[in-house]
Amino acid sequence: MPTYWLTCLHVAQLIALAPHEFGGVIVHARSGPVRERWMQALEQLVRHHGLVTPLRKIPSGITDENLLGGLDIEATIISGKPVFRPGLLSHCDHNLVILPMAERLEAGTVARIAAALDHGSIQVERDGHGERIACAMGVIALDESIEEDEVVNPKLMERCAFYLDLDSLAWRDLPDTKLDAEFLDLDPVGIKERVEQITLRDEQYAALIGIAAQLGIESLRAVQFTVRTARYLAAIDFDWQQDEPSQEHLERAVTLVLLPRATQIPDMADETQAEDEPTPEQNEEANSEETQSPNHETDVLEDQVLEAAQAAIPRELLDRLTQLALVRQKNHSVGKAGASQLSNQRGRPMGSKPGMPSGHQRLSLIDTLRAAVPWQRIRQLQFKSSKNQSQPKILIRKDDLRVKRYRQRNQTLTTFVVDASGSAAINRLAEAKGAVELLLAECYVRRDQVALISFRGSEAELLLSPTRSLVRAKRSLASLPGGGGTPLAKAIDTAFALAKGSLKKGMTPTLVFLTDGRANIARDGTPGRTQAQADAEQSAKLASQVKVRSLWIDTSPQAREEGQQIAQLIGSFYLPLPHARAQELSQAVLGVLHT
Amino acid sequence: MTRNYPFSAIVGQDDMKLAILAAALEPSIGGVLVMGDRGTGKSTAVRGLAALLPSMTVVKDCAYGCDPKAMASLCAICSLGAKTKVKTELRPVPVVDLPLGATEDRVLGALDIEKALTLGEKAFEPGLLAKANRGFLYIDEVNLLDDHLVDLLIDVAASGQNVVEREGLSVRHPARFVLVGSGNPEEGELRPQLLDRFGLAVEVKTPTDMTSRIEIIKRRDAFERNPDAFMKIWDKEDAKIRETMASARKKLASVKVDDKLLRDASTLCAHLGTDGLRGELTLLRASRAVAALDGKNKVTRDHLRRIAVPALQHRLRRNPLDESSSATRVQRALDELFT
Repeated sequence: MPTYWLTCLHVAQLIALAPHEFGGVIVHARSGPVRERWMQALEQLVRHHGLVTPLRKIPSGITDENLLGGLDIEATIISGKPVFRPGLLSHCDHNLVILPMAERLEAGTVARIAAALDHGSIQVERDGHGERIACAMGVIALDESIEEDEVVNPKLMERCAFYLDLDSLAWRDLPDTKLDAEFLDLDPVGIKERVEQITLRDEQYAALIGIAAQLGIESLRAVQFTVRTARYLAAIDFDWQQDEPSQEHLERAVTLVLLPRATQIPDMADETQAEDEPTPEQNEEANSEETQSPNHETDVLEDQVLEAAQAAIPRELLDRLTQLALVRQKNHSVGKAGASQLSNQRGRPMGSKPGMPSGHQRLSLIDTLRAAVPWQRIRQLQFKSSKNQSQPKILIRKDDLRVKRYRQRNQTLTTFVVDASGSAAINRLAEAKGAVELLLAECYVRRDQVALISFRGSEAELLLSPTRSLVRAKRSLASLPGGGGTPLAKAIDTAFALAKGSLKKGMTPTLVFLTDGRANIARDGTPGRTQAQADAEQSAKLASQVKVRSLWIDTSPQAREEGQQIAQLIGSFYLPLPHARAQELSQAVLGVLHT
Repeated sequence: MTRNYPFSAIVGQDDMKLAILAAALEPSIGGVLVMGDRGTGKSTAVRGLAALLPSMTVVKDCAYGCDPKAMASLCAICSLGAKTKVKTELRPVPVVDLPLGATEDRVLGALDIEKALTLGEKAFEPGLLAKANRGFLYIDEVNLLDDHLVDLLIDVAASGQNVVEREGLSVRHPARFVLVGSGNPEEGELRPQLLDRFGLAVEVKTPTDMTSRIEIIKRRDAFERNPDAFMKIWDKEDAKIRETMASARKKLASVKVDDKLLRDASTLCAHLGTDGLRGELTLLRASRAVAALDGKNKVTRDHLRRIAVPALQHRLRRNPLDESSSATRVQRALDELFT
């Protein structure tokens, strides 16, 4: 039986016991029997602790109206008094709430949830109503991501104590369901009383901080969660009559909270071996150091706890988690969430804003009525006194008009930066052209925009400004002449200037460089390999500040260091393709662009 | 309501604390923006500020908290009664939260819905901007704030006045507040126009040295286990800061800036190529606030050095040939010019 299932149950137990104290748990699992069973166990525990079930769900596209609350139009009209309908969050006090498809939550929704997790309450200022609503909740964030670039918002990860990977468990390995019920045998009131009595020793604090450092975890919230977990574990332990957690409690807390956040795993194998043979010297050492410094005690505790904690999680899972944590660290730009913008025309509905409907802004009828309702009585009184016409049922003024807003997934712009210099022309220009043509077709299918920059002689030229027209792209590509020097610095500058501009317009740019990377024209147009290379490197360094995905295809017959170095400076994906044909080239590019 | 972690119990983060105190002491600096990593205590520090502020004298029952001594900035109701002797009362300086998802009517103020519906009466209900008058307006996650709210803020923060026109009702009231924002730069950049409204900008990072990390965790844990006992210990420290603030406030008007220092400030701004005079003005005001907090009568180069990075780093133009962060560039300029 996998011990990891026990870990999962322990997490359910803790989170049900004190939802707000632990913030929540990120459950990486696709829908399936294992997740179902874990959720069942959780609901059972939740009921056992007297919380309301079934647990509420916050869908990914929820409006502020539903999340925070708003004026209840129907009730307001009927009663003639403003009736404020509280949002979903106000029903979540002292309970857990489920976030299905947490990786798709909007940044704004996450920020509102995060505020509730931080303060245990939310400030609502909406529709003539201002109130602080208690909302001490915990979240069960169901992370159903498959691709690596879909990640749960780091802000949410940060505020959830636990991370579970249920996908690593197979249904057939799970033990009898009877086991799950054993976790119910708890006395929540007694535990909460005891937990306040339990404190950590200074060495224990220090050891946990040391472990976090060894695992490459910067955030102090994680350590705080570990401390809290250790205290709760000690309080749950019936035999444990001390007022500080035991080493085992610390180990388990590290397993539950810190290890899943690790960005590096210290290799303990060597040290384990050394400690397996208790030599006389070591004993002496231990004795002598007891008198020396308390720091040593911390170190020993740190190593022991970390080692034991690591043993509790299967190595493969640990490695995968570390990989994931690294990916998360790298793309801290919140996956694709950052790459969307508000639009007035299309995309996912995002509520409304005050404004006049015009050519491309559509009226939101419901919201307009909603805005108009509270003022009807005043307006009707005014209307009666001013005019003698028959009175309309509802009086709507310009101030009430609301227009719809949509959130739109961004368009991508793929820019090809093609080296048309003499050296490249001899080798590969034809193939590069072929590959670009194939890629263009692919971009066209995906309704992406493409642009083409070529560089030769002393200039880099924008041959084709961002377009969706395949024909135009092909034409400008076909007439692309070859020959001349390689002004690489200028090419990089031009490419990133274009990328930056398109970022500002709300597009997601990608750059594809096709070059042999042998710069021989400096930025000022003078020939000379050394200066040209230096200029190119400087341009690359500058370019690395623009957060744009890029791919560097080295087309030289023998991959050379210069190109690779520049690619590295920019931070682009380097791909040497000395002998590929057009078809293979385009396959490679697509492979990189789509992962 | 949850209790706020005491300001004085925050370990390290001296730049942030200094910037917040300076901005609180001298409203004309124009507020402070705190950007930084997750879990660095950004919002903790801002929320802890409320406990450090002295009370203020206001016209009794005034919804906008008008200052009886400042005749020029009275609201419509108070200026009517200004000729007679006004009754005053003491109120704590407001620290108002502008939460995400707030609707326009709550921010600007609007007709009182209740009265409109039940009595058919037009009455203005002041919003958050009115509440924040003469105090602080705090926006957590400022870079996620809705665009149309940002527009409103930029406008009001510049003019110090809030104008509401609705249902034939025209209300104009003073809204002078110190803008305090915090956020995580990874989640999106701030609109340059809004960035410009902040006098000071500080970047906070998670401390990396063991001792302070341990201290942070220990204090957090102690606060969590027994907030009352923890507050009792730190109340004294908070009181000390409060006293410092009070005496600095008295001192502030008499703090002198000599010509040599003025020249230093201009040299620094010219060297860094900051746009316009705003940088220089903020730098001087902030240096004076720092000197006052130190209990000094005269601003020295040291005061200037301590606040130069927060005062200038968000005003630099991006230099295409220099990839170092703007904070480093300011620091470097300081080292070059004033050794």
